[in-house]
Amino acid sequence: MATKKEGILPSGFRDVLPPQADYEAAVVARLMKHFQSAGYARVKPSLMEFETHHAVQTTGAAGGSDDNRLKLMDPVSNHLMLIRNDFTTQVARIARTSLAHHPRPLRLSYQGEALCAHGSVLNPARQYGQVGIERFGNDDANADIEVMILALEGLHALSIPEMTLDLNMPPLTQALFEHFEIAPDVAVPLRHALNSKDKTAIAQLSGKGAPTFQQLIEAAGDAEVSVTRLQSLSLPLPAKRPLEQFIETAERIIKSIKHASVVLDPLENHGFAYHSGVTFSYLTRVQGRELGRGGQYNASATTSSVQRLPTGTRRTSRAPQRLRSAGALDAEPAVGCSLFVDTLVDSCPLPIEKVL
Amino acid sequence: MILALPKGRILEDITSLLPRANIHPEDAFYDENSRQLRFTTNMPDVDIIRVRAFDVATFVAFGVAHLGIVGLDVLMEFDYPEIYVPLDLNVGRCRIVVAEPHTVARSDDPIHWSHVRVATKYPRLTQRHFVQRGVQVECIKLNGAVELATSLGLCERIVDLVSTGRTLKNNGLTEVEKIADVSSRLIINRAAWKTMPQAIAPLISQFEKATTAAKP
Repeated sequence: MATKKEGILPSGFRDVLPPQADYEAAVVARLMKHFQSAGYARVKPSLMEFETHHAVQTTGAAGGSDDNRLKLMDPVSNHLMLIRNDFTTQVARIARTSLAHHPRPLRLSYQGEALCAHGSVLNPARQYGQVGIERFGNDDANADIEVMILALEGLHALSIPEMTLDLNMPPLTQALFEHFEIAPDVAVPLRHALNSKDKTAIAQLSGKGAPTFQQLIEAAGDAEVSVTRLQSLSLPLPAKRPLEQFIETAERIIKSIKHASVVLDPLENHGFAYHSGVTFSYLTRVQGRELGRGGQYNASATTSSVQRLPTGTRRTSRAPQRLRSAGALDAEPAVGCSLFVDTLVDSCPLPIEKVL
Repeated sequence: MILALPKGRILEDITSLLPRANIHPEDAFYDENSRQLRFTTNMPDVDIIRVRAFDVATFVAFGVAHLGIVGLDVLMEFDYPEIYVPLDLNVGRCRIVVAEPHTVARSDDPIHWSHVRVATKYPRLTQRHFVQRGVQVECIKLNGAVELATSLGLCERIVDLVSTGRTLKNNGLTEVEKIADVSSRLIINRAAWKTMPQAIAPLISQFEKATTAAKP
């Protein structure tokens, strides 16, 4: 039995009481309605998966995601299974297997709870709600913009004030690392330095690439100014294409966006583990917090021949479930966006009647 | 906007930097006996808070202070992902080191360590350093007067900041290993940088100019 010292619940967990529980449900329902009316069909992924299946769903510039998932031994199969800490990889698996036969673009939405093995000092919560959308099929700027704007309109419908859309481009960093032959043991501290805009450390770590990295850091900021600065840069050949793609998406976003200011920061890669194109996050000035994030990635099927879930769990989606052999489809481009329910609830100024 | 500044060691260096960055705090800021915690400046939308160095990083990481000045030692200890470190202010120079009593140092070679017990204000930084070296470490967290730990027999080694080395010497200690060079950095909260670039960017360049002007 837990003693008083340990508290009632494990650290990072909490009960949500009335009326907050109702409010949270209303915020989630409002967003799901918004996504579904735009053609994003709801899926409900299994809470648990086998470890081997989860790991290979998504690939991208930085490779592998941070291993912050809770693992358990499945007493039925004697294999390690894990509880999701993110819906994106799960929805990608569904899109690549059960829904592989559906015409593209395939638009899916989801909501539910995810679990981390560890909280952080800044955010100790280990259980958190996600609401989101994933779009499978094209990797053009249209797909990015559709997802970014749809999620932003959802946030705007909740009257969340003073929002900023932050755009990043992880493949650009990857291309520059390869071009400048950054050694693997330097890559980790250099990424850390780039993410904290630490010019001193960048100069020490990046060798002959230093001026290029510095210029890109200097060019980051308010979108309209930043686009001009980025256009004037002359990058090494392998980095030219990612930068052009980034600028193209940024310019189109600046033209079509209504409810948020835009910031460009091509080298930042805050928690984008598997993304292969433009990534983005929504911030609100009032809370100084992140409302959600997303981006482009490659969704791939698993390496195993048959997709299996731990016994007793099942996947519910609108399409008839059918097991199919993976590998029939190669990786496909996808764009997704997850919004964080806790931050939304804290940032939404509306009374519950207005949310519904 | 709120600028968080640390009490103690580096405050003096910083107070000479502020006017060069065109930030002039109200008089109470310079009065050491003042119990005031928040100070206005010549800039109507910039206020200063004066807190302990470790708390500067915490206030800025949580975004309640938008920018701050703090030593690299504190940043290494916390490693908050929400903090940008765009500028080395080139003040408050010192280093973070492992030290032990002269008597021990005479016959001790750090290469042969496999397990050490260390008193420090920086348990996480210390842990990381020794893990990278493949040395098992036990940290005893102290909040000050770390040098006493060895003379009173709490442990044989300490990890602490050293600038001139006089405090170490006075306490019979020798520096045996340098962990990192330290200087003060301008830090910015990530969300503040993203959501109000028009206000933050000019402040960074003000500090940049002040730092360049200070170089001999």
